[in-house]
Amino acid sequence: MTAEAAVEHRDVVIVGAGPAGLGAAAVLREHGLDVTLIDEQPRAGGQILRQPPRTFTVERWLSAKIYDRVKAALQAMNERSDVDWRMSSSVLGILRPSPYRTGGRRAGHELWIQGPSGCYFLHASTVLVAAGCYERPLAFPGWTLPGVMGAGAIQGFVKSQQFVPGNRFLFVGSHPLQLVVADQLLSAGADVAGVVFTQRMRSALTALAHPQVMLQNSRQFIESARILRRLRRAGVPVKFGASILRVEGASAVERATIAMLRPDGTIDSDRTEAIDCDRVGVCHGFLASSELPRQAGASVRWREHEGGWLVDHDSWFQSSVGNLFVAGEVTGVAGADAALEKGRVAAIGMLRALGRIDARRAEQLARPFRRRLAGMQRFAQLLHDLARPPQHLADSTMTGEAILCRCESIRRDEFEQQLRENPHVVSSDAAKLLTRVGMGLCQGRMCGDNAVRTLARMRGLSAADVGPFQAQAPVKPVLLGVLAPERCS
Amino acid sequence: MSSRITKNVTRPPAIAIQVNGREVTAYEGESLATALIAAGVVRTYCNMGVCFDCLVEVENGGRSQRVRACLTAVRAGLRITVAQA
Repeated sequence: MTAEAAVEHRDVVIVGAGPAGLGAAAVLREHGLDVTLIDEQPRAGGQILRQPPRTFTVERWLSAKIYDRVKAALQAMNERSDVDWRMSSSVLGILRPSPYRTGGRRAGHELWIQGPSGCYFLHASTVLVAAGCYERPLAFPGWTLPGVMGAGAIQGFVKSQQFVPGNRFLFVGSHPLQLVVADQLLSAGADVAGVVFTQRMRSALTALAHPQVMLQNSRQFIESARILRRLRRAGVPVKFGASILRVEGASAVERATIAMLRPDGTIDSDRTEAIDCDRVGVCHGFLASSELPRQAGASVRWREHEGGWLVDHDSWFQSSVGNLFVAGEVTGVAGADAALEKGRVAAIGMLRALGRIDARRAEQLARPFRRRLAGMQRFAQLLHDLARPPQHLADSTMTGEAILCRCESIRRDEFEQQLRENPHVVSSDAAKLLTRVGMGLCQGRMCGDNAVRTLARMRGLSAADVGPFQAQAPVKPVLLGVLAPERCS
Repeated sequence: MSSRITKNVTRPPAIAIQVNGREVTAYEGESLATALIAAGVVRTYCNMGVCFDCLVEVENGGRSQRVRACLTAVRAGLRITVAQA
């Protein structure tokens, strides 16, 4: 038997170079630890600060005040040569160390990584997963037509690529992010056909008017009020109490139909309006990217409006798996500023776990971060209440003919038919085996949320009973040609 | 049509890539997803490497590989094959 090359060792590996990962890296560097940062994007910043390509020069990039805090955190770390950056790289799994590869090392974790020049392993004493979140998909007839995108996906083109990815944009959803994106498109000279909120104006205003919230988060509210004013001045209709019903077009989006919602949140299909557009941005909140911690065996809990499956953690952001820390949106979607503070607290927790500081010093160092975080989490809670779509909206827009699973092209009625014929199937995994929903390349990220709800409702169970799809390594598909290039060329 | 923002933005000189045999103008470093949408080929849903809708075949220097267009940077001479919808 040939001895395999020894796996490289690192004290700390951080997965995700967004606000949480950057905040943690800064604290760890201050205390003299070597830090490895891994991210799928080519540059640091996460989704909130998707940087333009290095080959571009952009003046006044993201100059709005809402980005100030996270931009400062990015500037403090960006491209620093004392950090081991591994960008354009996907972590495929967090594994128990193989005694054959790691020279007998049993503690810590082994990361399975796909980098720009292939796959390799890295051994780490401590791992922080700050993988962020992705947009919560809303299924409806026509949502697989080219031109339907996440609102954040559209924003990514504008922020990073300096590109307006369409002609006439309609935004539909419940999350105020869609206001920001519509505004950024307007400033870039795009045509915005409208912004449609599921909430009724009155309930939104009642929540916003809470005096303590107004005072503590005045920046966000002033910005939202300014945006509403700019949209009105530009003649962009902003509608409340309505939802997307369907999208149509021959080979791409040509028209969207919205419907008014009744006071109880159900769709009133007699009161509809057709809107011409070539892009539809869907903005119904976010789902935590908790696949990697779940694959590593960390326990999770279901929080419907805070990101779906959230990773359990202690007060130092250590998950149920030893030396596996989690921070940012995977612990509860609360926004970039909160993610930054969580990353800082997690870093203190890692220093404590590695024996670099004692418990008293850790408490002392974490105090200011925790204090700020508490305030931000109060705001996040309010935002969740405010941005919450009506109870059964996702269920009502996904009609029988709507595609549930994009990868495998499975309609909702096909999924339900098979479940009706197989009443013994009561878990997401069993439903996946039966129907192929969740078996495609996205590994259930696009359909999981809707599949869990549909199954839970049919069986009269809770989402927690039905469970998530089992996350397995590789958590993102990898080509055989990448795993075994010499055999697949 | 989609459009690249030019105000306050300086790009490197334009280069040519091939999309389904057709020559298309793009800029080094921008994402393939951007170049494709600018050329009228829309395959993006999430634009962050999650949905895999934008998986395309890329050929460069005799080697071909499937990649997510949203996570792949444009380089001169790339030949891209996008499955027809």
